[in-house]
Amino acid sequence: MAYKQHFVEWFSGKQIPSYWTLTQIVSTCTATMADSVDGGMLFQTDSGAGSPSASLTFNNKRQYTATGFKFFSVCKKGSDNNIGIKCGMGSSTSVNPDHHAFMVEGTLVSYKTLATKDGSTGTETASSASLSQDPFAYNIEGTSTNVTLGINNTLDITKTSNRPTDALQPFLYIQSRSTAAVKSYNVRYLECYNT
Amino acid sequence: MTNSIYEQLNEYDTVAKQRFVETFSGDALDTNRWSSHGSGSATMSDTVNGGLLLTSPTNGAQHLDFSPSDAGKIRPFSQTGAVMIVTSKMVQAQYTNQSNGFKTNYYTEAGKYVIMAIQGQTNGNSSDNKIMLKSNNPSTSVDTSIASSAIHDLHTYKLELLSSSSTLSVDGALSSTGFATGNCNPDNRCQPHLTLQTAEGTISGGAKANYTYCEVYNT
Repeated sequence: MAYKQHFVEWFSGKQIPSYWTLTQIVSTCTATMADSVDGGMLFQTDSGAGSPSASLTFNNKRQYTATGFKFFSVCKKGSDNNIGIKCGMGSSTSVNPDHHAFMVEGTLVSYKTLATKDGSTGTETASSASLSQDPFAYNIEGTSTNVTLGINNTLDITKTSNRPTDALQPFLYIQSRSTAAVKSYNVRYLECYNT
Repeated sequence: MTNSIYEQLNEYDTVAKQRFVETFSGDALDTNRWSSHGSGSATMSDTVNGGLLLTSPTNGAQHLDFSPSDAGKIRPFSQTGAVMIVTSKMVQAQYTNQSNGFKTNYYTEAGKYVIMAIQGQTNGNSSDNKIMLKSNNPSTSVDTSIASSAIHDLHTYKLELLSSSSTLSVDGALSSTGFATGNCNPDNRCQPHLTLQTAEGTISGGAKANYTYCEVYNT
């Protein structure tokens, strides 16, 4: 069987590799390496008004198929209040890509949540996993029949509605939900591949 | 078998800690990852199994680490639970020291460190022609008893920081020849560092070493 597209990001070193594109959506955010044990990449907003936010992507080089991919990551929020994060696979660099399959955490939702969008309609399904500042691993899988979300290696959600169909890229997003407050989260691992 | 690297490296129901794998392949050193310090060089080798060729100045040291500046140190590894695996060889025997391991500070500062030290022939020092586990917290120097004739061969070194001690294993040795242990740890979070230097003499063109692999992870 031919090897398919497969990407591993260790987020280790002095700076973010240049194949990532940081897209400022509101105000100015940063993506730097953290000087902390297991810190990986520190994704951080500024303290400006209007919900500072940004995405980190492959700048619309979409090499992953929506109906046959797996995505793995480990992340940790820096705070519980007034921060929103979306991580997974998306079709653009915007806050709400037309096609996506995201794990959503933070003030945007009540539990760790699987969000999908099929080109026009986006819907969410909450998991049973609480919001927290603990580091956690999660995985998203897209197949021809459903999208699943696993939290810490336990399958939590199987979603069949509003699944993405267009090609996707890895997507990380942060949003500050308050003014005058820097918000952050750390990502220490990201892997995705076509199945 | 799963195709996921994550699932192959991590036990079920665990959250992965910081890790990276460096294969030193390509047309140039990955300068998004590594900072190179010194007036020597760090270039890719055009030889079979050459990997990275680290070259010191004629008289001095060349360092690779994660810190582009003192104020910008990046230290994601735990001083009480981390592993470094390096495959490397020194090109020449005389006046050459290689040290790879974990360090708390910027390259210009001593800080605290635990390293695998490979020392060539200098001027009759007791450490000549030895591969050792070394630290400065507290001062530690433990010989792995590798034969002097073999210290410049290509070896795989595994350095592990434990909760209150450190170990060095050469080519998979778990005891005796090729293994050393000491009650030493750095005192703060660490960055990986790879250093090649001349020692007690000058080398025209600089001391040289090849690195073909480096993996570091928290345990």
